[in-house]
Amino acid sequence: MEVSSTIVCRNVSKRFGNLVAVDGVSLEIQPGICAMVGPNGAGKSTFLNLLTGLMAPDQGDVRLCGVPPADTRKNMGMMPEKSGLFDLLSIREHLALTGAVYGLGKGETRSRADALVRVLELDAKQGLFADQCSHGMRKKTSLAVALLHAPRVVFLDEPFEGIDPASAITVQALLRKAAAGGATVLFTSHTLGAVERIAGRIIMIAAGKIVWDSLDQSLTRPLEELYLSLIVQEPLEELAWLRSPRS
Amino acid sequence: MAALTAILSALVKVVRRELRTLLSVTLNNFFLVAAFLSYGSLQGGRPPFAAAPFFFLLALFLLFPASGDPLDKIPQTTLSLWPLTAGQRAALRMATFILSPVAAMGLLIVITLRTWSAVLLAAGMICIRGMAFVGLRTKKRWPRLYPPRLVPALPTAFGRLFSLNLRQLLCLMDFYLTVVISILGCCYRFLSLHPDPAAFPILAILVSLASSTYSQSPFGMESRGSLMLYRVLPLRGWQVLLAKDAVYMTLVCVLTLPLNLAAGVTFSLAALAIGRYPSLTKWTPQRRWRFASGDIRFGFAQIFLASAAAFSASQGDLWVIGAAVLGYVASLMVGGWYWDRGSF
Repeated sequence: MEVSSTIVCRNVSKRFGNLVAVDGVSLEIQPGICAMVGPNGAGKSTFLNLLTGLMAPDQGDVRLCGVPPADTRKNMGMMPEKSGLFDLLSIREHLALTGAVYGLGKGETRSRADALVRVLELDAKQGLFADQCSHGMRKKTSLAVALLHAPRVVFLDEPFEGIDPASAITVQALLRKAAAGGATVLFTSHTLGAVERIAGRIIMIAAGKIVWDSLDQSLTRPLEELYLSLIVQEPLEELAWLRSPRS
Repeated sequence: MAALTAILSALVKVVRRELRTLLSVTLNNFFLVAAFLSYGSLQGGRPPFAAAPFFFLLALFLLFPASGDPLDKIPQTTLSLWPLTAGQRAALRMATFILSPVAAMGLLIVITLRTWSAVLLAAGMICIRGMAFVGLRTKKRWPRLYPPRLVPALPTAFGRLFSLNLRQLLCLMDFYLTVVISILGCCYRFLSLHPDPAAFPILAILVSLASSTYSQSPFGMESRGSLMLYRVLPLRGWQVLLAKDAVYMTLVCVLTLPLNLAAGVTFSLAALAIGRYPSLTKWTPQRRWRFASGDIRFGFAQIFLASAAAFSASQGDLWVIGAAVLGYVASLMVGGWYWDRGSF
């Protein structure tokens, strides 16, 4: 039986002045875990913003669960690049607010929030305001906010950035659980090890275009090797002064 | 409805917590002077009229940070992603207008007093809110007009540090209060028919005092990370401190020049010397667009000792200026040595 695609985009483009951030991308993503990798400035975050409806494409069409992103916000969870938290609300208050906004009952919100803060090891510091939290704690809080209402589609922008290795394994386990429940998880990352471990599908993006998709070509060598062969690197400048430090 | 209620109650919490940060003003030297004047008047059985202009100025300045749009407190991405209908978004927009402290205060004043002057006061407050709104939008649309970005990077390492410190000072309300008091003082001196020369040193002291709290926490605008950066710079402690002090000194010199330079310079030297100890022993983080806060003991020491020295200097007591210079240099050297050993 063919699984229907949760995310569908056709010929999507986005420009910022002369810069083409996303260049005519078409793809369909089925439930499961899909990772998007690529160098800085490749257009990954812009692409996520287009898929979530945070940005309107200049051209093309995006559908989530068969409808435009704006019509299916209840089914969507997002962990934005800049965490999207209120500076003066505590971790716990963020979760309580998210539960209410997404229509969860108080008891349900409380039990889910308890579980998430426990799993993400935020329980001892759940009374801290977001502006008092470390970068990693903000990331984890943002992830908890994205997962609290068990959305059908989860978008995560750099979920492994700035968090410790043990927490990264917990996050991977959480994403696997969400995917096992039928959710579609799409995340961007530079942590190729984590990508290889958990993603069922890997998409490589450079200069706003998909340059490799594991759905079309299977991965026959280590991801890092493939990545470095596909992503053009500028030769390192001489920087002779770096080899002669001043005494 | 539950979603809207939850968002509004979260916003109430955020606005309340934000308003609490305005209380930093209670540990500001200018506020301490006002409080002291009020106390003196009340002890003498008189109404505290003398302190009224001080409180009025502070309240006026505090209206700016208090008049922000509560809806701006919701991170833009989060607000866009919430599953709210167009009607709910419109209701949220309306409700947050009332949540704005300035709008709520204005409404309360009009309802309670029911006079034309109350309406005028409320209109003035709404004007300030409008100005704050325009300022915020200007910052977003033309980031180059953001005041700290108007400060150019000066040549040499010292110049770069000076520019950085000036940019930090421009993010404190103290700077703008100092400028306004200086302008008012200049208006009095040059526009009034018979200005009293005895008032000039007092005005110069007020100008210097308005931003003197900065001297107690010059590192307050730094993050933990940038404090670490200072440590790895190949600069001696006294150089780092001098770059901080120079900003306050320059501001005071420029703004007290038309009033009484001797009083201004003496006050700033004495205030910097007195503020050295708390500035190096306790890191007091300061928030942008708030009044700087300090230590009440050192605040009163600055108010009384530096004012007395400045007043004597304005009367021609040159030895007082010399003593202030010596005190400042000693504090700079000892402070620099302490910094090199690793304060904070």
